[in-house]
Amino acid sequence: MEDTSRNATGPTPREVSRRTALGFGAGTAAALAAVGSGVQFATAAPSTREIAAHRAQAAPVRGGELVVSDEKAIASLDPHYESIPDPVHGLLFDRLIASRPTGDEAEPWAIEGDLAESWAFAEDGLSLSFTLRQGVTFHDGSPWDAETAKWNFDRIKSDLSVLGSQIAFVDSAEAVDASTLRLTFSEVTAEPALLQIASVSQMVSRVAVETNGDEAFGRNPVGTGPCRFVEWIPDDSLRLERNPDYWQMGDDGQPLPYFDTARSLHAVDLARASVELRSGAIMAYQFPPARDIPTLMGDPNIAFVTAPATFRADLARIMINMESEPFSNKQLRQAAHYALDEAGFANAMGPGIMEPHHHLWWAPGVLGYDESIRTIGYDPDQATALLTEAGFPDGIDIRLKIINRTNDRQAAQIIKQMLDQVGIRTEIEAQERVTFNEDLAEGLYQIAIIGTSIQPDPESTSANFTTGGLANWGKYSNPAVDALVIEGRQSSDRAARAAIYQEIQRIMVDDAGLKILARHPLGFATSTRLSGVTSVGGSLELRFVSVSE
Amino acid sequence: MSAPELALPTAPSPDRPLMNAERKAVSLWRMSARAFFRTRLAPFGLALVIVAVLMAVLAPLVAPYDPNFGDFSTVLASPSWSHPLGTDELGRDILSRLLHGSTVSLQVGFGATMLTTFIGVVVGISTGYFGGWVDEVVMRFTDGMLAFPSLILALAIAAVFEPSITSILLAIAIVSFSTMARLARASTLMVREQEYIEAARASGASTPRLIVFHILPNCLSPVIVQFALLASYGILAEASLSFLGVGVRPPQASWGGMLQSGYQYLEIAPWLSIVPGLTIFLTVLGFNLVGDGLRAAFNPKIRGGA
Amino acid sequence: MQAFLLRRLALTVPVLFVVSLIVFVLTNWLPGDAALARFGEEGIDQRRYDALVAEMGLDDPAPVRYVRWVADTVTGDFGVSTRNQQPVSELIATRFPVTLQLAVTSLLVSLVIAIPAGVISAMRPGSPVDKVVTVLAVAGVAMPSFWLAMLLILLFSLRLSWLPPSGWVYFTEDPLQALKLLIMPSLVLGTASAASLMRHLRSSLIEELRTSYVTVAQSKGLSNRRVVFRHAFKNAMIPVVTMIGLQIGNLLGGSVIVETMFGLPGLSRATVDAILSRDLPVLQATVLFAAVLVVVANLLTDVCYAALNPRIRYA
Repeated sequence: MEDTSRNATGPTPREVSRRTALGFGAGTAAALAAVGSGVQFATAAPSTREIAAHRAQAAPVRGGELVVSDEKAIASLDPHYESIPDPVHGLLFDRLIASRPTGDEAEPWAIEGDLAESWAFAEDGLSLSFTLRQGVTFHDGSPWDAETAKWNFDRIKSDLSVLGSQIAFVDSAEAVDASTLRLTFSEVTAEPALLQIASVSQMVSRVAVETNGDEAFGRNPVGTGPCRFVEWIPDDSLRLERNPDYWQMGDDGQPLPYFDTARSLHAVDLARASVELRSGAIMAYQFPPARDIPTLMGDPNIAFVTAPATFRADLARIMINMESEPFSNKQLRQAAHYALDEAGFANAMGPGIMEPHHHLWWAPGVLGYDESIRTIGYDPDQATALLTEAGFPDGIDIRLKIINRTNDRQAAQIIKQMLDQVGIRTEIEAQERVTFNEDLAEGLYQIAIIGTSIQPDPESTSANFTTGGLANWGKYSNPAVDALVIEGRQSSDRAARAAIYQEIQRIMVDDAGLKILARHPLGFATSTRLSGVTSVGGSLELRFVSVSE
Repeated sequence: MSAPELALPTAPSPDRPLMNAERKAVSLWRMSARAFFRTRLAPFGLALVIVAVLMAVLAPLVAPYDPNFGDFSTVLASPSWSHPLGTDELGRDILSRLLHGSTVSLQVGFGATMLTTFIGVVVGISTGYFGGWVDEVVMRFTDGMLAFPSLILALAIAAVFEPSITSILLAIAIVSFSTMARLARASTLMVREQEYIEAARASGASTPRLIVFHILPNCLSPVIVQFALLASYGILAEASLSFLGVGVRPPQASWGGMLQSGYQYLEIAPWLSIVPGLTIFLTVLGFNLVGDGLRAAFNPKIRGGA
Repeated sequence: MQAFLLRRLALTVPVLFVVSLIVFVLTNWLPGDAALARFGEEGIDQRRYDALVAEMGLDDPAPVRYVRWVADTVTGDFGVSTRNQQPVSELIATRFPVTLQLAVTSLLVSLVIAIPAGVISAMRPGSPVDKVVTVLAVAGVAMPSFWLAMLLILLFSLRLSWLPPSGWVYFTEDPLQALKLLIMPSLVLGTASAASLMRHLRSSLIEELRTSYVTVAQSKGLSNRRVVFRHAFKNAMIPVVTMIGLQIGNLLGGSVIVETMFGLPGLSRATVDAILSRDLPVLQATVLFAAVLVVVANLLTDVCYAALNPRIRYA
């Protein structure tokens, strides 16, 4: 089915750019250059067939209920005030722009316009204008327009928002006219910034928020998405129903979504989710841990769907506090690195699924990946030698902080054993999440571990290692890295950006403050009853899904 | 933490005090010992408890492997000659962990019991003996504690401290000392008015002497009966808390902790959950049977029936 | 009786006061706060943290917060969850029925097992049936609930695929599915209480059967069965009443593990979540609620005693 059919509702006389290919694939230099120029002013109209092919529905089935589960409980349904992992929740809202896989190997990911039809950076790189989709209304009947979009961005940038820090480079938003939104930047900014904007850009109904207040909105959300809110029982479930007036068309020429209702079960731990999926009680869940993947793949009724160039490092991110004693001594940090056996960790955490990892937030397919820029690898003799050299021939005693959860305890015990063996005697301190949060925020730790995920563009993962970055748990800070990250965001030249990220990696490897031990593909476990499963920003995207009997 | 069995015999409301606490000490011990061993199940229970204690004592000698050392190349191995009970998710020998884990369970079981008994008896006797406003305040406080859902209280206490045996001990003791205090108080109240106490007091015995030599021995029998039940409660409580994730510091082995991490592999490696669960079950069973025996021994009313 | 009731009611006030103090002190002793608990894997944003602290009123001194809480609670305002903005009264109203339903079904399970077993073994003490029942009862009491739950899940969900491993629907929505989902949790909770109830029922029945009026009834030629049911049973119901009372009192603490393992959205799980997320309004209200339940249950138990056995007198 032609992709254009989905745009039939929008009066789109000049369908310039529904998507901007960022070309995250590790293609040839020529391909990179081509993509680079294509991206520059977002005027390219790349083939949309790949996406269509990827989500292709030979004969999409209409009706039925979609049931998924998520590990976490949700505190609020307000996408600006809470980070909500539930993929069903994503059906309530549309994004201004979204990053989705294309199905094309050379350019596996692309930015698509959902509530924006096209966009263009100003010549000076200090602002970005979006042309908004016309004729879209929120579930409460209020219209989608530039004023609403501006108001949304102001809300996203407010203090209580969970998203503001991701788009710190956006200075202000303004409605140029009814269908044009302009974002003004505090510094020169280019294509890579679209990823950050895409990730925060779920648009909510201004009328609903202003009528009922922020808190009430969090319990009764209103968006423009393919589903409308029905009921939320906190810590239990979320129910949605089909939005019959949705703007986007399915492959059968009728509005999406294909299913009638959607339900998400919350606070279902991953061990339970695996059983529930196989019993048929649920149809999908996100990010199964490595240990469950072999069982899932062995089931003929289950598909393990992965998104290109995205990886998960289950509790494999080691943070060494460079400010703490004795790790202010670089040799000791390096000694700790030498003690860590990537292959042993991978085998213990997910035999056959997890792979040893040597490259921080870079992996094959990620922009700037270079096989030769490796973090310090396993060499216990070298670790002992460094300890002696640093003046600790009898070893050192340190504490390893973790969140007190089953899997974290498992990872910690593996790492403790490795460190113990070289003379870095480790005591595990398993804390409640709240206390862990507190201590890490204040830098009260020596070594800590937590999971992370790897995205196709380093711009998406930079918050893990820039000063003040939201996901920078270990408070790693190096001004040179910060400057290079900004430089990377300001350039649309893929080759130049790749060089920048390689430089970042060299600096970080030298600092020896961070290490990622192992990775496995980031994916979704789904029933084979579902077709049209795709991803948005690395998470499960359900809006194109149909449910067969 | 299944409270009912504990709560039934031990939570007399103020209106239903426990009966007969006074008895001549010497003949009581002999009679009780005879009664204890007459019940058929109590010796079996005692045997189970002894096995558990032996496990803890001998663990360092008989455990075939280092309980905390994981061989990452043989994770989740099913039982075999080299690993009779298999290996866990980190490739550690389950038999060795089970043996070493008994230390934690028994430390918590006995430790919590001692602590609970000590606090309970001191509080109970002093409030019962001296009475007055302190008694009022303390009793209202224990009322409050008894109305508090115990596992939730223990969880909150355990959350305040870092996971360790001490914090679990404290949590259990704080949760369960109230019943013990009430038992001791009820006995004290009854004994206090007895003639021989009056006589002792008249003959010039000091208050501490009265308490140690006259009141305390007479409070002992309900306390001893309670002792075994408290130990089994402690073991279950440790397991429950570990199961809910607030157990001892990893990688130290504990039965509850083994069960908890094994639960993740219930499907592919069920022995990980079955083995420690069975061990907890048998140990708790042992303490319960000993407790039943003690109850029969110290309470002539039940003696006939069971 | 009336005086007794009044006295008991008056006693509840200090109990609740003590509970409220314990709850408050304990919750404030917990490290970290509700604002911090809002941050997960994605990281901590100091700017948002400060905004949340101000919004939640966490920057007031503890005594001020205590007085504010007591005053609000007394006037019927239980506040709003700091975790998900749900009004606490609504949370209790939606969560408590789940826990209550579980309690009722598990009580049914325990009664269905315990009463016949207790009566049969009491009628023939020392018989093989009695011995089997006694051993089972002893085992049932020692069974760790989470282990029993695991074994049931392993057998019925994973191996046989007969029952769903977890989840919740209301009876009104889908009775069959609701029943299926309740079988395992009710069995787990019911087994422990069935075992202990059976033991008490048995010993009190044996006692009753020995008393003089039963002997008189027997000498009048009534069959053993009629004697049991007509005369002894009523008095032997006292442990049953005690058990029900205790179960109501122990509703919250007793079902924590079962609700967690079987994914039931009950009040116990809400309370545990509240501890972990430092959700003080919810924690304080649910624990207070549980304490009220205990007090009410004790009161009802005593009233039932009086009704069942007029020999029990209250001063």
